[in-house]
Amino acid sequence: MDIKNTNISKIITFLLFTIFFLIGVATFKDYGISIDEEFQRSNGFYWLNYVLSFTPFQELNNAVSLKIAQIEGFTLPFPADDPYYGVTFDLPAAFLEVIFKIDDPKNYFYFKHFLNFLLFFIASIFFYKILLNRFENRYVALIGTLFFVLSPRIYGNSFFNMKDIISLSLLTIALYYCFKLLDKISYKNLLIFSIFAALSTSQRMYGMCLPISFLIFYSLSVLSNKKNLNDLPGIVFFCISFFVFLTIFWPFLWSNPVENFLLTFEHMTHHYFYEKIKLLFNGTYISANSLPYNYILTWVLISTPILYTILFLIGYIQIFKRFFLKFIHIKNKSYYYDLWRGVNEKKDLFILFNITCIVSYLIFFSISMANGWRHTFFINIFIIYISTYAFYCININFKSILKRKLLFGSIIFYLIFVIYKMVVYHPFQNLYFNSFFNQASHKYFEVDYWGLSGRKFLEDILVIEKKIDPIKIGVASYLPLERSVKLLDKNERKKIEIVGQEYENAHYLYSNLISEVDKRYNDKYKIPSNFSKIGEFVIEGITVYEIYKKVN
Amino acid sequence: MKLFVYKTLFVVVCIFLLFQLTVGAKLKQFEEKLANYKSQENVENIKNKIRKELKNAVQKENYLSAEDAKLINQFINKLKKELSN
Repeated sequence: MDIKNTNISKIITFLLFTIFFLIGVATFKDYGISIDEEFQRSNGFYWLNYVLSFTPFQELNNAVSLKIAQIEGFTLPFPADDPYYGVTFDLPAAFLEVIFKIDDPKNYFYFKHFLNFLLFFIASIFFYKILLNRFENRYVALIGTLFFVLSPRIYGNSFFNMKDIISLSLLTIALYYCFKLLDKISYKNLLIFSIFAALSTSQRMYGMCLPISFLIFYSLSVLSNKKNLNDLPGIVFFCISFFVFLTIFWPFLWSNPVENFLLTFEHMTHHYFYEKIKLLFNGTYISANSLPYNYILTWVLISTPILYTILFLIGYIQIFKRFFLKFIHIKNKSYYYDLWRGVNEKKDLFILFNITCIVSYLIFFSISMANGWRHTFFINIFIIYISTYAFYCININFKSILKRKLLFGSIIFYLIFVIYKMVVYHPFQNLYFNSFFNQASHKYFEVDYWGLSGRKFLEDILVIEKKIDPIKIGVASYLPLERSVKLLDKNERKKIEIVGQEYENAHYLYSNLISEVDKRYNDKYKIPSNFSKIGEFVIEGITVYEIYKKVN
Repeated sequence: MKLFVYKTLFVVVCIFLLFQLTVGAKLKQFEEKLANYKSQENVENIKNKIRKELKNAVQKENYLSAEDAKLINQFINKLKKELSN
């Protein structure tokens, strides 16, 4: 019976992953372009050029130099002026673009969207393996993985967010190997963990949380049981290999590893660019470098499906309570470890420790952030893990099979509801607000901060306006709309001319309501009186963008 | 030794949290206000207010009351006199 059950669950898992992959492959071209993609492409080529300068591949280097020369944009920063970003994804993607000779902008952005999704898909498999490793129950692992994949904001971003989703994906893979090490320390797993932890750290410095936590937990093990000191040579090996791989994967560190690492850290904690930027948060404009305490918690609360949040709270309280009771009963001599009994408890505590420390660090040290919580999307790994833990505990506490079936049924029913919402939002799942908070959210929070709607707007305009050529479009928002033009067909690109804030020259105005200045005091994006609104794009009561036409 | 390490960690964490939730929170509020006050936007806002006030002054037939005009006149005359000496 058990073997039959296992086989059924394996088939269901395989089927769901196949469906997930096929949906991604079928829809990756539906998504628009985010404002950072052009910079990241440029960043990839810049560092590829740097790396190739140490090699004898002159022809390849010339092709890369040519690509760099072709990248231009009025508002596009030059990578050398902003060298702090990791190249884990950008550099290989740039390399593949050259190798496969992808020259049309539309194609190379689609190609990168596909690669981005592919890595997220692989990460979701690893997330499933993490849950299976911890809960040893295929159905629970599958439900948790569905929570992970059906997180609308994360899913939407998985097609175009080449910073935060890559960081989340690499961290997921690193966490899997970290769990393997929490089970048993071996040189093979130490090496693999150091590789993925280094990849993830070089992508975003928050990736350091796993190796640091791993070392802290090792110290706690030693504190409880001196026998663990036998693993010390392995730990030293891990530290060395982590720093070696970190330097290898991050060309910015090659010239001066320590100083450049510290510079990046400083850049991450206080982003000088954000000094000029205001964010709409809770109905008021605030500085991106001076965020209120509730910034992250509010964003997570309003943009995560409510069931995941409720389960997370239950799970968090449960794990914290268990930790606290163990903590106050620590004895000088004990047969068990002080803060956990078995390895599963250790893993739960590891996750609790990570999410608590990261969120506290972000809140109390006033870390610069913008665009919702996208910089910290990786904490979704911990949120969903703890939600799954709560689901697992509730499931165990239900003794009768009927109650368990009811629990599974209601969870699946809710997941179908989330899928329905994701279909409604498609291809703007990145703008998701949960049902409790989505009413007129655009008045209180930034909605399309990454300008994904730019492409749809341009396509709409090409349908509406057939007579004028070129159609001059003004942008009454903080957005380089010219980058979205690259996702149009070649002929259509010629019909569009973006005139920025020179409203007097524009036939139409686009506004996605995003402003880096306080609209109460600054008229930069005020719609001139000779323009009237002819349309708007609304999802679930949230205004994404507005179209204005010149009337005289 | 082990208990000492745990107790020390506990006390450090408690002190940190207590500080952040009391003094730290107030400091943050103060920083936010200061950042807002120093911001380019606020400077622009003040400039705009001055411009608006100047425009109002230009549009009015008599900006100053007779009493104020007399007082300012006397004050300027006094300054002139002192400067010429």
